[in-house]
Parts: sequence; structure tokens; C-alpha cells
Amino acid sequence: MKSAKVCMVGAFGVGKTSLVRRFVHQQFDERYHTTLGVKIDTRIVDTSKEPVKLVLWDMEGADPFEADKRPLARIRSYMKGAHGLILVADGTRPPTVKTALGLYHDFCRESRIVPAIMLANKADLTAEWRFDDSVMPDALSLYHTSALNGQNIEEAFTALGESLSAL
Amino acid sequence: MKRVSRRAAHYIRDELLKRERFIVIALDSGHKIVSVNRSTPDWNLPGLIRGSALPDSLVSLLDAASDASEPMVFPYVEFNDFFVDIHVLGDGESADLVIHDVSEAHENEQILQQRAHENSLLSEQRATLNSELAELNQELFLRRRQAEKASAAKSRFIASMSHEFRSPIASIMGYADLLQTELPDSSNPQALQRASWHLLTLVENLLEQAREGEENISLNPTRFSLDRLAGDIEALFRAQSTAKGLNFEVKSSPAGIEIECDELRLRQILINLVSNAFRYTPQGQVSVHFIHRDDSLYVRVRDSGRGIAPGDIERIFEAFTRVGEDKTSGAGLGLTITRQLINRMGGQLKVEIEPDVGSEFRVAIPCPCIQDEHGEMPSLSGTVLWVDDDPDILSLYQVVLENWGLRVITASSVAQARDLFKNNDCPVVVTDIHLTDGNGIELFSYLRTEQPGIAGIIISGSGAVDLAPEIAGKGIRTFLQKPIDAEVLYKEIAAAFAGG
Repeated sequence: MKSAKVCMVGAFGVGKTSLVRRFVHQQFDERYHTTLGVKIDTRIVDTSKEPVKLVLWDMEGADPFEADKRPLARIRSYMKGAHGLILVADGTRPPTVKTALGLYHDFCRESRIVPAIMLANKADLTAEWRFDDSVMPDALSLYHTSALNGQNIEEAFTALGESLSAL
Repeated sequence: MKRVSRRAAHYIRDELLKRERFIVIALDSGHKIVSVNRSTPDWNLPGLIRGSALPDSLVSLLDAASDASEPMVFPYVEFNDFFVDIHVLGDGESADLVIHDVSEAHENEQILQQRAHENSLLSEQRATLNSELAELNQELFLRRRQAEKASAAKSRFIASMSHEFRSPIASIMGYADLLQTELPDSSNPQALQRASWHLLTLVENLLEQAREGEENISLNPTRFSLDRLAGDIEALFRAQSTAKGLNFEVKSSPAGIEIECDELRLRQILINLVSNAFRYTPQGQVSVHFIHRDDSLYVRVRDSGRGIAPGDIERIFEAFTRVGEDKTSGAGLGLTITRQLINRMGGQLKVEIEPDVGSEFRVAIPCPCIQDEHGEMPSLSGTVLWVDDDPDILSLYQVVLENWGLRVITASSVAQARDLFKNNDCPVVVTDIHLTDGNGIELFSYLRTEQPGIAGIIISGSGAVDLAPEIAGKGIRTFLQKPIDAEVLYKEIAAAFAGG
């Protein structure tokens, strides 16, 4: 079975851990618990070609304004050798889009191009939603997701699995 | 460290190994575990068994490090409830993994990171809220400006409407007055005049309501006969009382006095109260009693109507409100305006209503009694320049003033007035304030520079405008509001010619 390292990247507090928790364990926790380091989980997705084992690297969030650059160095080391990327932004916090895209462009400069998707998370917060779809590059498929209610999560991860199975 | 002896180096290594926990795993080329060595015998990680395959999560580390020429470190990797640093040492064929337990350091740093991120999120939320607040403030500012503009537009509209309504009514009333002079034995001109007063009252009711608040009601005190007022009220409602089969009684005392207050407002109050009494009295009687005593006018309007419940008394003063099952016509403004007018005039209104027995409205208004100077109007002489853009008003007052023995020159615009003034000796100028090509006050100021001794009377249909500050110090004798009481006008013009 094909196995693919997929990195979840984005700013802190956008819901990366919650998305993995929802996708792998079908669970959701309202409390915010920041991730330091990386947690690796796996789940097999069925694709039109063959099942693909996604090895999901849920890594700590980036803070572009943080003076301590060690977290960013850790993130970059974790991203090495990734087969796919899941960029995550918080749809209620517009600056997090830029952070996710910044990490994506860093990766593309230093490594080969890999399949990547963008998740605009917390879509359940409709009153505070301020995500501008038009700022997204054409190369990235965009999904409005909610780890709270599971909206579009299966669809997004499966779509990335399809892209990875085709490689 | 180059100078450290081998013995010292071994000592440091041994001390560190005592304090730290490591597992070293040797792998073959197929990622199968060849050996597992622990620094501490009591620390182990499940799944790391000699001869078994490396777990998927750790295989992905090897893939990431496969191209690396130097050892790679993956810090703070969560593995079986521990946080470990994983060092990958590979040579292309086989690899060693050094797993270092850093759970304690991770926990300490995680607490700091959690606080830092929570603070950052709070700062972001605060910034967002501040930004939204700034937007709301901006919107509030814009809306307030819009409201102020709308309010100013409304005030202009009210002033304009007041002028528009009053001018034709003034014309009707003036011509009715003229007819009365020409046909002294006919009751028709009086009826026309009373109906005009009634119409004016209704218009004023609407305008007062639109002005929002009694402080915006302007007062224009004049002197007039109490008998005439009582007679007009009696005559105005006589037909209605006959039609409804009601006994209607109007009394006033003492007879033959003149009082001084805003006649229009007083008529408005009376017409509102008496109309109300007739509206709610299907049978029985309506009475109006005027008594002037101690510089106050007391009016009692009583009816034998159905009354209302005591709890509803305050509601009858609410605008556009009808209490009970009333289906009669009317805007529901009369009592609201009445109370505002009485308050504005410094008076009091008391109400006693007994259900199924009747109602009594008692009004007291400060109102000095003027010694009766009423009598004949001696003939006047001299020339008056009358400026108004309403041709009916011009014609009307030309006839009125000529009847008083005056010569009248009329002008319908500022420009025409200036021309006529140059060629005629006009010691008294009467001008409407709003003219098609200018302002009556400015016109008078100009004429006064040409001839300093002239006297001015300003006429306006805009009841809401307080002109006192505007006309102060400009030699303007008085300000009269349309419709103009002929007697008052006569006295003002006579005094102007006399230099009083």
C-alpha cells in the first residue's frame, strides 16, 4: 500500500490538531491546546486507484511575529520529505491565510512541488467569517471546513489522497 | 573540549546517561529492527522490539532523512505518550535511531507556548473588536450626520409648509374680513372666517406635532376681544350641536374686555377641546365657560359624553391614540397638541372624567386683561410700501389699508420694492419675510440705509421661526404672523406713523 507523509501546516490556533482528530478519530474537543512539536497519526483513504495510507504530521503552529525562531526551524525540519501538504487557515482570522501561504512558498522554494490543498477552517462560525476566496492561488484547491461539525473534512483529505495516489 | 582528558570525557558521558533516557535502535536496510539498547532499563517504548518492523510513524522520519548527509534531528515528536527527540543517523544502507526522552522539557515549554498563543489570540480578538468598534463609530457618525441633515430638512419643510398653508388661509380670512365690512348684515363672511380659523387650527395641530416638542412652539401675543372669541366658538359649533341634538352653551365673563395672549394658539386649544367634547357626546350637552380673573383666563369645557376609564386618562394625550371603541374621524392629535400649547403658554390643564357621566377639561392660562381701547378706527394718512410675492395678499391689504385712508404702493419682489421706494416717500414698509428674490429683513435693512427714519413691519407665515434675534437692532417695529388680525395691523401702522 502506498504510504504518504502529509504535513498539516499553518498558524497557531487555526485548528490543525482538531482537523486531524476529527478525520482520524471522529472526535472534537472545544478546548484550545496548543501543539508543541509534532504528532504523527495515520489513516487509510480509499481512492479511485488504490488505498493510500496518509501519515499525517500534525505540527505546531507558526507565529510569524514570534521573536523565537526555533519553532519555525522545527516546522521546516518536519516538512522535509513531505509528499503532500494540507495548509490550514482560520476563516475568521484573515492574517492566518498569509501565514499558511508563506509556509507553502517556503516549502516550494526548497523542495519539489507536491500536491497541496488549503482548508479554510471554522466554517461553522458564519457570523465572524472573513475569508476571501479570491486571494487563493489557482494551484491550491480550497475547502471550507469545520472540525466542529465535520464539514468538508472527508472530502478534502480524500481529494488529497487521490492526488497522492496518482503520483 | 579538545583538552578534556579521556577520563573526564567518560565521566561526563556517564553522568549524562544517568540523568537522561535514551533508546538506540539499529535498523537494517529494510527498516527491520536489528537491536534495541536502552540507557535506563526501566524505560521502554512499546512496539520497539528486536526483529520487528519499525512503526509507520518512524519510517516516515527515515524517509525524510534519507537524503541527508549529516545526522537529522526531529525534536518534540509525540510517540506513545512521550515526547522525544529522534536523531536519525544513516549511511544509505542501514540506520540508527537515537530516541531521547524530552517529555519534561516539552511540558515546560508547552506551558509557556500555550500562554503565549492564548495571549496572541486575545490580542488579535481585541484588535478585531477595536477595528469593528472603529467601523461602528464611523457608521454611527455618518448616520448621525444623516439624521441631522434629515432633521434640518424636516425643519425647513415644516417652516415651508407653515408658510404655504398660512398664506392662502390668511388671504381667505382677510377677504372674509373685507366682505364683512362691505356686507355688514350678512352672516356669511363670519362663517367663512370661522371655518378658516378651524382649518388653521387643524393645520397648526399637524405642524406642532411635526415640530416635536412644545419648546419649538413660537408664541405671538396679540390683544383681542374675549366676547368675540366666545362668540366665534359658539357660532363655529352651533351647526354641529343642532345636527346632533345637543344643548350647547357658551358663556364668558366679564363682558367687554380685551385680553392679551396668542389668539391663534388659544383658538387652537379651544377648538381642539370643544371638537373633542362633541366627538364623544352622542346626547346631552356641551358647555364652554370663560372667566377672566386675576390676569388669567379660565376655560371650562364640559360634556355629558360617555367618558373614559380613569386608567386611560393619560393615554388620551398620546399622539395618534384613540381610547375606547371610537371610530370617529380625526387624527388623534388634538389633546396632545392642546396640552403642549397650554404648557408652552405657561398654563395648566386639568381633566376630570367620569365614565358614562361626562368629562370636564379645565384650562388656566396667564393672560393679562387690557383696558378696552377698542373703538372706531380713525382715518390714517400717509404712504405704505407693502411687499409680498402673493398677489392675493397684496390686493387684499391694498384694499384694507386704503379703507383706512392710506396710500398703498405694492411690490411683489425685492427689486421692485427698491425701485418703487426710490421714487416714493414711504415712511412705513410692510414686507413678507420670504420673497422670491430675497429676504424681507435684508430688504428693510437696505431701505433703512437709504432713508434711516422709516418704520418696518415684518410679516411671516413661518410660525416656527423665532425672529427676535434676527430683527433686533434693525429698526423693525414688529413682527406679525399670518393670518394678520386687522385690528392689530391697524394699531401697529397707526403707531408707526405716529412714531410710537
